[in-house]
Amino acid sequence: MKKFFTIIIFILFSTSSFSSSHHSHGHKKNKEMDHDYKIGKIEIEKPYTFFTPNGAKVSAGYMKIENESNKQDVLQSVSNVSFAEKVEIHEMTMENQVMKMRPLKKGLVIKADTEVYLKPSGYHIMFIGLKEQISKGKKYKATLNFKNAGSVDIFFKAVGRNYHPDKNHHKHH
Amino acid sequence: MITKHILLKRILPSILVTTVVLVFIGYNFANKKPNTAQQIQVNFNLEDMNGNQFNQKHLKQKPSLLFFGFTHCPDVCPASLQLLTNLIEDLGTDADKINYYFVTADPERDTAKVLKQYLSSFNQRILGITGKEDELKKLYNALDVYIQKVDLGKGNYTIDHTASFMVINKDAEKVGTMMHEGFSKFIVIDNYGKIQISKDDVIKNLKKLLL
Ligand SMILES: [Cu+2]
Repeated sequence: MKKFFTIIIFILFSTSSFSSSHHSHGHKKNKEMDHDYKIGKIEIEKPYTFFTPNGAKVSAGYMKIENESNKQDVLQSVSNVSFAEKVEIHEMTMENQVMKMRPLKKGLVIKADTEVYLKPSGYHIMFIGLKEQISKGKKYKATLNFKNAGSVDIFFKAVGRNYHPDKNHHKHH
Repeated sequence: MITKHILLKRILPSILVTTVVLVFIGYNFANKKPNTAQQIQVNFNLEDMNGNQFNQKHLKQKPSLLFFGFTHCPDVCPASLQLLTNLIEDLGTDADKINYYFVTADPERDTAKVLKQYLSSFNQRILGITGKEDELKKLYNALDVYIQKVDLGKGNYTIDHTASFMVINKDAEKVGTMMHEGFSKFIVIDNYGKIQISKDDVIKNLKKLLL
Protein backbone atom coordinates (compact mmCIF):
# COMPACT_ATOMS: atom_id res chain seq x y z
CA MET A 1 0.00 0.00 0.00
CA LYS A 2 2.81 2.34 0.85
CA LYS A 3 4.29 1.45 -2.47
CA PHE A 4 0.97 2.25 -4.14
CA PHE A 5 0.87 5.71 -2.61
CA THR A 6 4.48 6.28 -3.46
CA ILE A 7 3.67 5.55 -7.08
CA ILE A 8 0.70 7.92 -7.02
CA ILE A 9 2.70 10.70 -5.44
CA PHE A 10 5.50 10.07 -7.90
CA ILE A 11 3.00 10.32 -10.75
CA LEU A 12 1.39 13.48 -9.43
CA PHE A 13 4.74 15.18 -9.24
CA SER A 14 5.69 14.05 -12.69
CA THR A 15 2.40 14.76 -14.45
CA SER A 16 3.30 18.09 -16.00
CA SER A 17 6.52 16.97 -17.60
CA PHE A 18 4.87 13.76 -18.70
CA SER A 19 1.88 15.42 -20.36
CA SER A 20 3.99 17.51 -22.66
CA SER A 21 6.20 14.64 -23.73
CA HIS A 22 3.21 12.39 -24.20
CA HIS A 23 1.65 14.47 -26.92
CA SER A 24 4.91 15.05 -28.69
CA HIS A 25 5.08 11.39 -29.61
CA GLY A 26 3.65 11.51 -33.08
CA HIS A 27 2.87 7.84 -33.42
CA LYS A 28 1.93 5.01 -31.14
CA LYS A 29 4.88 3.00 -32.38
CA ASN A 30 7.30 4.47 -29.94
CA LYS A 31 10.37 2.26 -29.98
CA GLU A 32 11.30 2.69 -26.36
CA MET A 33 7.80 1.64 -25.34
CA ASP A 34 7.68 -1.24 -27.73
CA HIS A 35 5.27 -3.75 -26.40
CA ASP A 36 3.18 -4.21 -29.53
CA TYR A 37 3.18 -7.00 -32.08
CA LYS A 38 1.89 -7.46 -35.59
CA ILE A 39 1.04 -10.43 -37.77
CA GLY A 40 -0.68 -9.81 -41.11
CA LYS A 41 -3.55 -7.43 -40.44
CA ILE A 42 -3.70 -8.25 -36.75
CA GLU A 43 -2.10 -5.96 -34.25
CA ILE A 44 -1.54 -6.91 -30.60
CA GLU A 45 -1.08 -4.12 -28.10
CA LYS A 46 0.45 -4.28 -24.63
CA PRO A 47 -0.04 -7.84 -23.46
CA TYR A 48 0.12 -7.95 -19.67
CA THR A 49 -0.51 -10.27 -16.77
CA PHE A 50 -0.75 -9.54 -13.04
CA PHE A 51 1.72 -10.62 -10.37
CA THR A 52 0.13 -13.60 -8.66
CA PRO A 53 -0.66 -13.95 -4.96
CA ASN A 54 1.45 -16.55 -3.12
CA GLY A 55 0.67 -20.08 -4.20
CA ALA A 56 -1.77 -19.04 -6.95
CA LYS A 57 -2.50 -21.83 -9.42
CA VAL A 58 -4.06 -19.67 -12.09
CA SER A 59 -3.54 -16.33 -13.75
CA ALA A 60 -4.89 -14.38 -16.71
CA GLY A 61 -3.35 -12.49 -19.60
CA TYR A 62 -4.78 -9.37 -21.21
CA MET A 63 -4.15 -7.25 -24.31
CA LYS A 64 -5.84 -5.34 -27.08
CA ILE A 65 -6.28 -7.08 -30.42
CA GLU A 66 -6.96 -4.97 -33.47
CA ASN A 67 -8.10 -6.44 -36.76
CA GLU A 68 -7.24 -4.07 -39.60
CA SER A 69 -8.50 -6.47 -42.23
CA ASN A 70 -11.90 -6.34 -43.92
CA LYS A 71 -12.43 -9.97 -42.95
CA GLN A 72 -13.06 -11.30 -39.48
CA ASP A 73 -10.39 -13.34 -37.78
CA VAL A 74 -10.44 -15.75 -34.84
CA LEU A 75 -7.92 -16.19 -32.07
CA GLN A 76 -8.20 -19.95 -32.03
CA SER A 77 -5.65 -20.95 -29.44
CA VAL A 78 -2.67 -19.89 -27.39
CA SER A 79 0.31 -22.20 -27.28
CA ASN A 80 4.00 -22.35 -26.41
CA VAL A 81 3.48 -21.34 -22.78
CA SER A 82 6.14 -22.77 -20.50
CA PHE A 83 4.93 -21.32 -17.19
CA ALA A 84 1.51 -23.05 -17.09
CA GLU A 85 0.22 -26.54 -17.71
CA LYS A 86 -2.72 -25.39 -19.77
CA VAL A 87 -3.89 -22.29 -21.60
CA GLU A 88 -7.44 -21.43 -22.58
CA ILE A 89 -9.29 -18.46 -24.01
CA HIS A 90 -11.99 -17.35 -21.58
CA GLU A 91 -14.89 -15.01 -21.31
CA MET A 92 -15.99 -13.51 -18.02
CA THR A 93 -19.33 -11.91 -17.42
CA MET A 94 -20.93 -10.15 -14.49
CA GLU A 95 -24.67 -10.48 -14.00
CA ASN A 96 -26.56 -9.38 -10.89
CA GLN A 97 -23.23 -9.16 -9.05
CA VAL A 98 -22.41 -12.75 -10.01
CA MET A 99 -19.13 -13.47 -11.78
CA LYS A 100 -19.18 -16.21 -14.40
CA MET A 101 -16.22 -17.50 -16.38
CA ARG A 102 -16.39 -19.81 -19.39
CA PRO A 103 -13.91 -21.12 -21.98
CA LEU A 104 -14.50 -19.88 -25.53
CA LYS A 105 -14.25 -23.25 -27.24
CA LYS A 106 -14.44 -21.85 -30.75
CA GLY A 107 -12.00 -19.10 -29.97
CA LEU A 108 -12.32 -15.34 -29.79
CA VAL A 109 -13.79 -13.69 -32.86
CA ILE A 110 -12.35 -10.34 -33.92
CA LYS A 111 -14.67 -8.86 -36.51
CA ALA A 112 -13.43 -6.97 -39.56
CA ASP A 113 -12.01 -3.52 -38.78
CA THR A 114 -12.63 -3.76 -35.08
CA GLU A 115 -10.67 -4.07 -31.90
CA VAL A 116 -11.27 -6.35 -28.96
CA TYR A 117 -10.00 -5.72 -25.47
CA LEU A 118 -8.96 -8.59 -23.29
CA LYS A 119 -9.26 -7.08 -19.83
CA PRO A 120 -10.09 -7.88 -16.20
CA SER A 121 -13.69 -9.07 -15.81
CA GLY A 122 -13.88 -9.69 -19.55
CA TYR A 123 -12.12 -11.79 -22.17
CA HIS A 124 -8.79 -13.17 -21.03
CA ILE A 125 -6.14 -15.75 -21.73
CA MET A 126 -6.40 -18.14 -18.81
CA PHE A 127 -3.22 -19.77 -17.55
CA ILE A 128 -4.11 -22.89 -15.61
CA GLY A 129 -1.74 -24.86 -13.39
CA LEU A 130 0.96 -22.24 -12.97
CA LYS A 131 4.42 -23.77 -12.74
CA GLU A 132 5.88 -20.58 -11.32
CA GLN A 133 4.58 -17.39 -9.76
CA ILE A 134 4.09 -14.41 -12.04
CA SER A 135 6.55 -11.93 -10.67
CA LYS A 136 7.80 -8.42 -11.10
CA GLY A 137 10.11 -7.50 -13.91
CA LYS A 138 9.59 -10.72 -15.84
CA LYS A 139 8.06 -11.35 -19.23
CA TYR A 140 6.03 -14.40 -20.14
CA LYS A 141 6.11 -15.80 -23.64
CA ALA A 142 3.16 -17.23 -25.56
CA THR A 143 2.17 -17.85 -29.16
CA LEU A 144 -1.17 -16.55 -30.36
CA ASN A 145 -2.68 -18.60 -33.19
CA PHE A 146 -5.09 -16.75 -35.47
CA LYS A 147 -7.21 -18.49 -38.08
CA ASN A 148 -6.33 -16.13 -40.93
CA ALA A 149 -3.37 -14.06 -39.84
CA GLY A 150 -1.34 -16.98 -38.55
CA SER A 151 0.78 -17.29 -35.43
CA VAL A 152 2.70 -14.66 -33.55
CA ASP A 153 4.98 -14.84 -30.51
CA ILE A 154 4.27 -12.29 -27.83
CA PHE A 155 5.46 -11.50 -24.32
CA PHE A 156 3.12 -10.72 -21.45
CA LYS A 157 4.57 -8.10 -19.18
CA ALA A 158 4.07 -8.78 -15.45
CA VAL A 159 2.39 -5.84 -13.73
CA GLY A 160 0.78 -4.93 -10.39
CA ARG A 161 -2.98 -4.90 -9.82
CA ASN A 162 -3.20 -1.15 -10.14
CA TYR A 163 -1.99 -1.24 -13.73
CA HIS A 164 -4.43 -0.44 -16.50
CA PRO A 165 -3.46 0.11 -20.12
CA ASP A 166 -4.57 3.37 -21.61
CA LYS A 167 -7.88 2.61 -23.27
CA ASN A 168 -7.93 5.91 -25.13
CA HIS A 169 -4.43 5.52 -26.45
CA HIS A 170 -5.39 5.93 -30.09
CA LYS A 171 -7.59 8.92 -29.46
CA HIS A 172 -4.61 10.95 -28.32
CA HIS A 173 -3.11 10.82 -31.77
CA MET B 1 15.07 8.60 -17.59
CA ILE B 2 13.86 6.22 -20.24
CA THR B 3 12.73 3.76 -17.59
CA LYS B 4 10.90 6.53 -15.78
CA HIS B 5 9.05 7.46 -18.94
CA ILE B 6 8.06 3.90 -19.64
CA LEU B 7 6.70 3.67 -16.14
CA LEU B 8 4.83 6.93 -16.48
CA LYS B 9 3.43 6.24 -19.88
CA ARG B 10 2.00 2.95 -18.66
CA ILE B 11 0.86 3.70 -15.18
CA LEU B 12 -0.34 7.26 -15.39
CA PRO B 13 -3.04 6.67 -17.99
CA SER B 14 -4.18 3.68 -16.04
CA ILE B 15 -4.70 5.65 -12.89
CA LEU B 16 -6.34 8.54 -14.72
CA VAL B 17 -8.51 6.57 -17.08
CA THR B 18 -9.70 3.86 -14.75
CA THR B 19 -13.15 4.68 -13.49
CA VAL B 20 -15.59 2.95 -11.25
CA VAL B 21 -14.01 1.26 -8.34
CA LEU B 22 -16.53 0.44 -5.81
CA VAL B 23 -20.22 0.05 -6.26
CA PHE B 24 -22.12 0.40 -3.07
CA ILE B 25 -25.59 -0.99 -3.23
CA GLY B 26 -28.11 -0.10 -0.56
CA TYR B 27 -29.84 -2.64 1.54
CA ASN B 28 -33.04 -2.47 -0.40
CA PHE B 29 -31.45 -4.87 -2.87
CA ALA B 30 -33.68 -7.70 -4.04
CA ASN B 31 -36.96 -6.01 -3.22
CA LYS B 32 -36.28 -5.77 0.48
CA LYS B 33 -37.75 -2.71 2.14
CA PRO B 34 -35.20 0.01 2.79
CA ASN B 35 -33.89 0.01 6.34
CA THR B 36 -34.89 -3.59 6.88
CA ALA B 37 -31.59 -5.21 7.63
CA GLN B 38 -31.43 -8.91 7.35
CA GLN B 39 -30.13 -10.66 10.46
CA ILE B 40 -28.02 -13.77 10.15
CA GLN B 41 -29.70 -16.26 12.39
CA VAL B 42 -28.34 -19.52 11.09
CA ASN B 43 -25.81 -21.57 13.08
CA PHE B 44 -22.80 -22.74 11.13
CA ASN B 45 -19.58 -24.47 11.96
CA LEU B 46 -16.54 -23.48 9.93
CA GLU B 47 -12.83 -23.03 10.45
CA ASP B 48 -10.46 -20.19 9.80
CA MET B 49 -7.11 -20.51 8.04
CA ASN B 50 -5.32 -20.81 11.38
CA GLY B 51 -7.34 -23.86 12.35
CA ASN B 52 -9.67 -22.02 14.77
CA GLN B 53 -13.41 -22.45 14.83
CA PHE B 54 -15.50 -19.91 12.98
CA ASN B 55 -19.23 -19.68 13.65
CA GLN B 56 -22.15 -17.24 13.86
CA LYS B 57 -20.88 -15.84 17.17
CA HIS B 58 -17.84 -14.41 15.41
CA LEU B 59 -20.12 -12.20 13.32
CA LYS B 60 -21.43 -10.51 16.46
CA GLN B 61 -18.09 -9.38 17.87
CA LYS B 62 -17.44 -6.58 15.41
CA PRO B 63 -18.90 -5.40 12.10
CA SER B 64 -17.61 -7.49 9.21
CA LEU B 65 -16.77 -7.24 5.56
CA LEU B 66 -16.98 -10.60 3.82
CA PHE B 67 -15.91 -11.59 0.35
CA PHE B 68 -16.76 -14.97 -1.14
CA GLY B 69 -14.35 -16.31 -3.73
CA PHE B 70 -11.74 -18.93 -4.51
CA THR B 71 -8.02 -19.06 -5.08
CA HIS B 72 -8.42 -20.55 -8.57
CA CYS B 73 -10.05 -17.30 -9.67
CA PRO B 74 -7.87 -15.30 -12.07
CA ASP B 75 -8.93 -11.74 -11.52
CA VAL B 76 -12.09 -10.84 -9.65
CA CYS B 77 -10.96 -12.45 -6.39
CA PRO B 78 -7.36 -11.23 -6.22
CA ALA B 79 -8.51 -7.78 -7.40
CA SER B 80 -11.14 -7.69 -4.64
CA LEU B 81 -8.58 -8.76 -2.06
CA GLN B 82 -6.25 -6.03 -3.25
CA LEU B 83 -9.07 -3.52 -3.02
CA LEU B 84 -9.88 -4.71 0.48
CA THR B 85 -6.22 -4.39 1.38
CA ASN B 86 -6.26 -0.78 0.12
CA LEU B 87 -9.49 -0.10 1.98
CA ILE B 88 -8.12 -1.45 5.27
CA GLU B 89 -5.10 0.82 4.93
CA ASP B 90 -7.40 3.77 4.23
CA LEU B 91 -9.49 3.05 7.32
CA GLY B 92 -6.40 3.85 9.36
CA THR B 93 -6.85 3.45 13.08
CA ASP B 94 -10.47 2.37 12.55
CA ALA B 95 -9.35 -0.70 10.62
CA ASP B 96 -9.20 -2.76 13.82
CA LYS B 97 -12.87 -2.09 14.53
CA ILE B 98 -13.96 -4.28 11.62
CA ASN B 99 -13.33 -7.95 10.85
CA TYR B 100 -12.43 -8.95 7.29
CA TYR B 101 -13.13 -12.38 5.87
CA PHE B 102 -12.37 -14.16 2.64
CA VAL B 103 -14.79 -17.10 2.62
CA THR B 104 -14.02 -19.80 0.11
CA ALA B 105 -16.50 -20.80 -2.56
CA ASP B 106 -14.30 -23.81 -3.30
CA PRO B 107 -13.70 -25.86 -0.11
CA GLU B 108 -12.45 -28.77 -2.21
CA ARG B 109 -9.29 -26.91 -3.25
CA ASP B 110 -9.14 -24.10 -0.69
CA THR B 111 -7.98 -25.79 2.48
CA ALA B 112 -6.93 -23.71 5.48
CA LYS B 113 -3.32 -24.13 4.41
CA VAL B 114 -3.97 -22.98 0.82
CA LEU B 115 -5.94 -19.95 2.06
CA LYS B 116 -3.23 -19.00 4.51
CA GLN B 117 -0.53 -19.04 1.86
CA TYR B 118 -2.68 -17.14 -0.66
CA LEU B 119 -3.81 -14.49 1.79
CA SER B 120 -0.24 -13.84 2.93
CA SER B 121 -0.02 -11.64 -0.19
CA PHE B 122 -2.71 -9.29 1.14
CA ASN B 123 -3.46 -7.35 4.32
CA GLN B 124 -2.84 -9.59 7.31
CA ARG B 125 -6.20 -8.70 8.86
CA ILE B 126 -8.03 -10.66 6.16
CA LEU B 127 -8.94 -14.03 7.59
CA GLY B 128 -9.55 -16.99 5.30
CA ILE B 129 -12.56 -19.18 6.09
CA THR B 130 -13.19 -22.70 4.87
CA GLY B 131 -15.01 -25.81 6.04
CA LYS B 132 -17.47 -28.45 4.96
CA GLU B 133 -19.60 -27.63 1.94
CA ASP B 134 -22.88 -28.05 3.84
CA GLU B 135 -21.75 -25.68 6.57
CA LEU B 136 -20.50 -23.12 4.07
CA LYS B 137 -23.84 -23.25 2.26
CA LYS B 138 -25.60 -22.11 5.42
CA LEU B 139 -23.53 -18.96 5.40
CA TYR B 140 -23.89 -18.39 1.63
CA ASN B 141 -27.66 -18.69 1.93
CA ALA B 142 -27.90 -16.49 4.99
CA LEU B 143 -26.22 -13.69 3.07
CA ASP B 144 -27.83 -14.33 -0.34
CA VAL B 145 -24.47 -15.22 -1.81
CA TYR B 146 -24.74 -17.17 -5.04
CA ILE B 147 -22.18 -19.98 -5.40
CA GLN B 148 -22.44 -22.53 -8.19
CA LYS B 149 -19.82 -25.05 -9.20
CA VAL B 150 -19.70 -25.47 -12.98
CA ASP B 151 -18.17 -28.56 -14.57
CA LEU B 152 -15.89 -27.75 -17.50
CA GLY B 153 -15.10 -31.37 -18.36
CA LYS B 154 -11.92 -33.41 -17.90
CA GLY B 155 -12.03 -32.91 -14.15
CA ASN B 156 -11.92 -29.14 -14.44
CA TYR B 157 -14.42 -26.82 -12.91
CA THR B 158 -15.00 -23.18 -12.21
CA ILE B 159 -17.28 -21.46 -9.74
CA ASP B 160 -19.86 -18.83 -10.53
CA HIS B 161 -19.99 -16.61 -7.48
CA THR B 162 -21.33 -13.36 -6.15
CA ALA B 163 -18.46 -10.94 -6.53
CA SER B 164 -19.52 -8.24 -4.08
CA PHE B 165 -18.53 -7.60 -0.51
CA MET B 166 -21.15 -8.30 2.13
CA VAL B 167 -21.37 -5.53 4.70
CA ILE B 168 -22.44 -6.82 8.13
CA ASN B 169 -22.97 -4.67 11.22
CA LYS B 170 -22.08 -5.79 14.75
CA ASP B 171 -25.56 -7.21 15.28
CA ALA B 172 -24.83 -9.62 12.43
CA GLU B 173 -27.25 -7.82 10.15
CA LYS B 174 -26.50 -7.49 6.47
CA VAL B 175 -26.64 -3.75 5.81
CA GLY B 176 -25.32 -3.59 2.27
CA THR B 177 -23.10 -4.89 -0.46
CA MET B 178 -20.31 -3.21 -2.34
CA MET B 179 -18.63 -3.97 -5.58
CA HIS B 180 -15.48 -2.90 -7.33
CA GLU B 181 -14.48 -2.56 -10.94
CA GLY B 182 -11.13 -0.90 -10.68
CA PHE B 183 -8.99 1.11 -8.30
CA SER B 184 -9.56 4.87 -8.36
CA LYS B 185 -13.03 6.38 -8.08
CA PHE B 186 -16.05 5.03 -6.32
CA ILE B 187 -19.60 4.59 -7.36
CA VAL B 188 -22.37 4.32 -4.87
CA ILE B 189 -25.76 3.02 -5.77
CA ASP B 190 -28.47 3.70 -3.26
CA ASN B 191 -32.23 4.30 -3.31
CA TYR B 192 -31.70 7.57 -5.13
CA GLY B 193 -29.64 6.14 -7.94
CA LYS B 194 -26.05 6.14 -8.96
CA ILE B 195 -23.55 8.71 -7.79
CA GLN B 196 -19.84 8.94 -8.18
CA ILE B 197 -18.04 9.70 -4.99
CA SER B 198 -14.53 9.92 -3.71
CA LYS B 199 -12.73 7.17 -1.89
CA ASP B 200 -12.91 9.27 1.29
CA ASP B 201 -16.68 9.29 1.06
CA VAL B 202 -16.78 5.53 0.73
CA ILE B 203 -14.70 5.28 3.88
CA LYS B 204 -17.05 7.74 5.60
CA ASN B 205 -20.09 5.72 4.52
CA LEU B 206 -18.57 2.50 5.70
CA LYS B 207 -17.79 4.05 9.06
CA LYS B 208 -21.30 5.40 9.32
CA LEU B 209 -22.81 2.02 8.51
CA LEU B 210 -20.56 -0.05 10.67
CA LEU B 211 -18.92 1.84 13.49
CU1 LIG C 1 -10.57 -17.64 -16.88
